[in-house]
Amino acid sequence: MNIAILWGLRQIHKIVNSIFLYLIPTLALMLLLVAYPVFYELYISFTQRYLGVGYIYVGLKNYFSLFSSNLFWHSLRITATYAVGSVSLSFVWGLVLALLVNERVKARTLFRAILLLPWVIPPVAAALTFRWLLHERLGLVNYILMTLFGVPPVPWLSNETFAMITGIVANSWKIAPFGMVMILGALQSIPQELYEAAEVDGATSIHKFWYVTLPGCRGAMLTVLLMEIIWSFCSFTLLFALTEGGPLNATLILPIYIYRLSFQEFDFCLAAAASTVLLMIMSLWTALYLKYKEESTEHIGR
Amino acid sequence: MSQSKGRREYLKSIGAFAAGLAIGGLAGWFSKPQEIVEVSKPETPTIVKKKITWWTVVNEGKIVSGQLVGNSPDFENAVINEFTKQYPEIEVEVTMIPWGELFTKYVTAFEAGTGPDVFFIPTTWAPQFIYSGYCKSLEDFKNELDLNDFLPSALSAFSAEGQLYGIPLRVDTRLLNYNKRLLREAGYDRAPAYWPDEVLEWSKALTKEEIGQYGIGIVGKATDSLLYEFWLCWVFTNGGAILSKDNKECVLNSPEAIEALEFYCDLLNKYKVAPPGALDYDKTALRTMFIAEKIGMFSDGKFAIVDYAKKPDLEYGLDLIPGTKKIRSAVVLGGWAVAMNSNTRYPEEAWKFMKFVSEPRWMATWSLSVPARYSAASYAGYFDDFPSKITFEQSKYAKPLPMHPKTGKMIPVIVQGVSEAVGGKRSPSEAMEWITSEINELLKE
Repeated sequence: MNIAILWGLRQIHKIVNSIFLYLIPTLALMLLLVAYPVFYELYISFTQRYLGVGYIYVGLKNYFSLFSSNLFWHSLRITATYAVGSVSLSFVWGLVLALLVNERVKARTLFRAILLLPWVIPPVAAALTFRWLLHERLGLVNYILMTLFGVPPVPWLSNETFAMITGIVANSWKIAPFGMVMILGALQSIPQELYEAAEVDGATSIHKFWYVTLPGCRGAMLTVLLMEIIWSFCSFTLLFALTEGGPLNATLILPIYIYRLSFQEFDFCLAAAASTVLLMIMSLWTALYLKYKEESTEHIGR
Repeated sequence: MSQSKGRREYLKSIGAFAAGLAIGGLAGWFSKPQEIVEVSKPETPTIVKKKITWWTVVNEGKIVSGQLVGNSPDFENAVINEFTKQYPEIEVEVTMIPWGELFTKYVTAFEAGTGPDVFFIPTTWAPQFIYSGYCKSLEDFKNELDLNDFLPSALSAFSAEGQLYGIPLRVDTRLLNYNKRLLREAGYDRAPAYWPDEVLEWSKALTKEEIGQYGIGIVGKATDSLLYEFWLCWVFTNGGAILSKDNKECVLNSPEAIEALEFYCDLLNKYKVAPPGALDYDKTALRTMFIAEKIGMFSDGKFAIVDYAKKPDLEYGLDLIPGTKKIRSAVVLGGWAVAMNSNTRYPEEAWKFMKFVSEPRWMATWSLSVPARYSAASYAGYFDDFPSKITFEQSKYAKPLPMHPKTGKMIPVIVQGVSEAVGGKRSPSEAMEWITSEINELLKE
């Protein structure tokens, strides 16, 4: 009897000791909040909804109609433009800000806090503020441009090219502080000795930036690039509140296109197919990044 | 030792986490579904047997002629209190949702097979909701209503395939909103009644580009509300339509429809009597410019007067949407109805509530709009104020959107085409041809 109890206790001890037990809470949450919606979305992307019947399996029909839709390809092009534009601008902007606040200036903490503000402002509030500032007839920006420089009203949100530029600038403004914080962290971890050694070797400021600062921030920069590309590809709120995908679909990024398919056209199955395509693109991008990161870590390790 | 302590700590934290989840889950289980604005519960009746849920839109309440008007929490409370007095066996739980979130919340809930038993639905969404199976047919119940008392156009906006899916409560229409002071300064004591001649003449006289003032507001933003703008009203007054009478083909490429859209676009692009930037403007943007006295005329509903009240020196006037010599005016019918969820567990109770809220006495105080029942007009001098009178007059010229399974898919095509015409990407005739061919493709499916 005692042996049986002891054996039982040992089994419980083994379970308690195993890694699996510790993972249960996280796994359960992940299954519930990530795996279930993703698999459900995958499932309905292969179906068509019929009134009174429900979802019927139709194979790849939704994918065929998606790939034959001009608007889908247009939207994909717009998304790529928006993401590349936003990431380039916000990356450079974040780097410049990080270099600035890394300098020993007075009230450095205050500057850092102020520069972080765009990051913490809710996207809808930011978008509405931009809408007001950039209003073609009543906006402050056009008023200033007109009174100071005599510039005629700029169609910030009603012209296709300007609307894209406005979207990119607004998004970069919003996400740049993330890059700033990450790169600043990396900058501060670069040992001072490296700069001193470089100085002894006669390095100029540009040399120091190029051969010490940039390699020192490489890891952080890669992470920033990955995150910002993912955010820009999947971002919805800011641009939707700013332009709703207009004018004339000039800012119709994929997430807004998916929203329109489901909530305007009620075509949830086609929207699910489009979401799957977006998921594939993002997965591919993340896999590439992880592979590259692994290689670069190995390189550093050597 | 330290390892085992660490493990104990870890187990403790897992325990705490699990307890937290359990408490959170239980709290969620017992709490009500997500609510945006919760209205305090009505007096608890002694016998509570069945609970029905009622989702409605929240907006500003307003006192008109001594009455509280609008879907304010106080008003909802008053209605529900009365209802529970009459039907103590039914409990009503009301959720009031801001307009901007209403659509997404409805669609998400109904697609998930949940949602309220009874809900408030605007005409614009009726075709999509009915053909998506969200609304229960009221054929088994409707004989209890005096349908002859309802405005026929309002009933048709909520009927499909010969069946009724909602009880109309109120009718909204666009009106011509104009600035009396600007018109007076330009030498006019009335609004234009006909297009193209009068509208163009008035608009030209009101435009003073050097001070950023324009005659008429043109909307070009590709949203659903573009369907309610002047262009479609003018298509109707010119004898045009969206679909043929049998609903089998699109007729927006008719000369009458093209002429109307051409004039709409010309006001902006040719005559330059409308503020540039139309592709970014919706009705709300124009309302802001109207209040800032930068446009002389535009199309908006009677409910805009709530915003006008914030600028007391604004001399606004309301009139019928300009028409033609053949048809004095036309407008797309807006408004609201009360509908039943097709998945409701309590259809009998839901119906009792629907019937109760559609009684004329409530309808008369329901909102800033026009009641959908003739008999409501006899209550409490509802038509005493001019804005109500003119909206009632305008509602006689109102036409609902086509009731068709594909209406939901047609709307984005129409607004896209019209927006492209306003933006000059296609000529009005090209845009109408494109819309027609796209819609005809949809109708063939």
